[in-house]
Amino acid sequence: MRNGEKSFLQSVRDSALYKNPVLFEAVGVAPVAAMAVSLKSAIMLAAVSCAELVLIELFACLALKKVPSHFRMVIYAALGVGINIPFFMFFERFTPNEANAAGIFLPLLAVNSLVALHCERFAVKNTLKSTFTDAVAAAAGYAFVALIVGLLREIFGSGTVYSLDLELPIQLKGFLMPFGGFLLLGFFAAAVKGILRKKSPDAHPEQAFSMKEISQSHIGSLKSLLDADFNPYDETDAAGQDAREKPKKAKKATAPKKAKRKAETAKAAKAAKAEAKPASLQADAPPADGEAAPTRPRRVPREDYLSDFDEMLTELDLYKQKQQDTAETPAAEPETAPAAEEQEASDE
Amino acid sequence: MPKEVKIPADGRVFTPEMQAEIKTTQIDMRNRLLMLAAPAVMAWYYYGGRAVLLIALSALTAMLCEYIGMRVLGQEPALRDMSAALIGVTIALLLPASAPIWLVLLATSFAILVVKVPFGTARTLLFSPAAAGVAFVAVCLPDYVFSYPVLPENGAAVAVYGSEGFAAGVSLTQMLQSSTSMGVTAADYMDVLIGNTPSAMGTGCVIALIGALLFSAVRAPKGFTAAMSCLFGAAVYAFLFPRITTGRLQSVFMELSGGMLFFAALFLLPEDSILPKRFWGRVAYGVSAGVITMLFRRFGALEEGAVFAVLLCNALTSAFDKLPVARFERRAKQQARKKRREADGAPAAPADALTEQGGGADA
Amino acid sequence: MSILGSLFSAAMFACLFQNLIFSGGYGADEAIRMAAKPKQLYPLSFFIIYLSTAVSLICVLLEQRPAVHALNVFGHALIFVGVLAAVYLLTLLFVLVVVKAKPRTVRRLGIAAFNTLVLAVPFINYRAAFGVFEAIGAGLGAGAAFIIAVLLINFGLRAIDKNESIPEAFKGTPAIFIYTAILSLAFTGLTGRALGV
Repeated sequence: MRNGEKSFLQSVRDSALYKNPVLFEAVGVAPVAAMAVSLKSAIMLAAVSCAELVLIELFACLALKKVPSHFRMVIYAALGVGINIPFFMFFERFTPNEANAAGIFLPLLAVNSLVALHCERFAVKNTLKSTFTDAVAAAAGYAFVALIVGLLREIFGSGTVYSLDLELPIQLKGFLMPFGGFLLLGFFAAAVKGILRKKSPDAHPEQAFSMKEISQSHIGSLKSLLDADFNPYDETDAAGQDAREKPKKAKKATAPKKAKRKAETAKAAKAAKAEAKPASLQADAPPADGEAAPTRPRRVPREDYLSDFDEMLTELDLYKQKQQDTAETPAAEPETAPAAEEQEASDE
Repeated sequence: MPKEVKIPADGRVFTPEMQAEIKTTQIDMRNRLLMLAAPAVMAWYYYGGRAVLLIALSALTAMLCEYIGMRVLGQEPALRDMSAALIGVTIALLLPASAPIWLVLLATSFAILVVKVPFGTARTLLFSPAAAGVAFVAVCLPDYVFSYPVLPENGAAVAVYGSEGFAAGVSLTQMLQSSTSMGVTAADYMDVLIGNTPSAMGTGCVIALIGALLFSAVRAPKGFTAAMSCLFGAAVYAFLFPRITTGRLQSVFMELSGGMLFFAALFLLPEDSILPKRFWGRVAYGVSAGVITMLFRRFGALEEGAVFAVLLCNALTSAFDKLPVARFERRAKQQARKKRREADGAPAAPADALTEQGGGADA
Repeated sequence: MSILGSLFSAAMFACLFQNLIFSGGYGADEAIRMAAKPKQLYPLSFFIIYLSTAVSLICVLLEQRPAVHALNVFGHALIFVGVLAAVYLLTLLFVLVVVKAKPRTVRRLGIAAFNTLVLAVPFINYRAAFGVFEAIGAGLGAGAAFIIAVLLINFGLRAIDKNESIPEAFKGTPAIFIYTAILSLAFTGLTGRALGV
């Protein structure tokens, strides 16, 4: 029993820190940035979010596994409103100023992306016990961040703590604005990451936020944009989802899909051959008499191609120039070489 | 292209590539500090020891913040590239002489610790730190930032250490906000040109800024392009949509001379690591900054929007870089490359034939 | 002209002068997460514009009924979420049955519908007592604000991704948050205050 409790607490702590939903997954950022401007409002935010997360995740695990995902979104919103309203009435009665200051954000918590993400990613695919652990961990992590950010923003922005005046000489109102929230989140995330890396150097919490698709272009044909796959939660869940959906469609889809793929690869090979033709690179190789002129490769906007090529050559030349310049200053090298050698020796 | 280097425990090593980069940055910063000398001297002329104190403290704070920030992160601070000092001096000149010392230090600390250190070095900035520092204090404490003192009378001493002795004046941007003209006599224009109007320490003397602009035309032509484009964009907007009723040309004069626009165009926009690499990109960058500044002035809650416009345009740099390469840029690069190859004695590469074909196609 | 003027001014306010994402914080997490998936920008933005405009318009029309107008904040919250759910379900029905869309399109619709940005618009209309055309403008402006936010953050993410000099502690979301903070600071220059409603 003790080991079981320890592992539950440990897994909650690990999930709350290493996979903190706000700091490392960038989920549920909006309420923290906009609403958590004081300790009281942060407590409200934490309480509502924790209740929503735990209750909705447990309900999703128990009752929504067989419901299609597009209907689950509506149910999450409906449940969110249902949980939100009693809290809202409680805060309106006992802390009316803070409830008023929260503005419209309190009712907006009904559609907090944190709940949807955790339910879709975890609750509908796992057991009740592990769902409970996940919900508690995410709620703890979220509350931890919201409270710290709310406290700091109240100190810097209003000069108070829980409405008690600290009589600070300066108040920076900017921290009460969303940019203050984003700023504190950034530094908080960096601080937590630094501490976690010191404790476990193999941990890479930044990998929780995927940047793999960043360099894709947002400009393209309508068809290619609509055909792009969309996994809002994460790849394994999308694969799991697809795996459940695939068997129903597999029988219909396999044969035509294979043929399509073959045709596409053949097309791509043809296009690649045509583009790879050396005619455009060999200025001094005109076609011999009697030979048919080579077919023109696919037309590429020459100016962009030339300018990119020019830039690469210029960068290469600059790099060579720098190498030459630094080779001409031998004084720097003897200082650095022994230090580098000593370091290598000490590392070994 | 710097390689990843394992910095040893004493952290006193820079690779040859990093040293070369620091040297390049040093040259750039020296040029910009020389440009800043003109408005700094005028600030000293009008505000005496107070200006010197604020500038010196700001520069020292910037260097100290960079040193501490980089050390905490386990990196070697490259203070000798002088970028931190430049940021400190720039921020001090963007604030009024009546600003308390802690305000200047706050702006500088924000600029270095929030905008510079988390994004690496002076060569990898994403935003202008000076613009962000001033924007931060402008949003948090606008009463201090936009309260410009009346200039002291001839021979009157300026309190070096206290900010209470200053009387609040009306700046050109405040006049524009209330649609008040500055006057139409030659003396009024001369007052503005020599900086005899309430303003921030470094932004008032237009003649000094024009001198700095001419210097940049010679020593930093890329920055000059961006600065001129910014002024052009703002001038066109001011001409088309004047905020005063005494004439469009006077509107242009007041808008360009007042506030932080001219100073921002010269010293905040042309941040080397952020400036677009292509000519048309720099023109678009500058024009956008000028127009957005005017929009901020007209529709924004604060009287001055140059620093915010600079931040927005910094974010759009990669979009401006997608504009086509100017023909003269391409030809200049081709010629430079040809000369280098001839100097190296390398055989002509196929690429030369290709670019000749391309040049021929364009012609 | 006054109809167009009120529509345009409401759109400009939602999009630029009081940018819902940078000055208000609404929809910030969706914007940051979608900035990391730029290929989804236009399909998702289309749904956001459609949903925010439709929900905004229907809620404003309902608000004109005395029974709805007399409700307190909880009542309005229920009405707005109910309208959002109804619009979403009707659109889902159309997309599934008539268009026979693929699952990825349906996923996009779900993400576009249930986020703080889309639900914030009817609340803002309610607090600002907008009319019909202003509500339509606010809906369109919200969508445009989302597109601007995602594009700006995406430019920054690309630069952050390429930047090898970022200290280890700031790599990933810390640098992204600070970048977003500075963008938000820039937009705050227009409003001068937080967009508290």
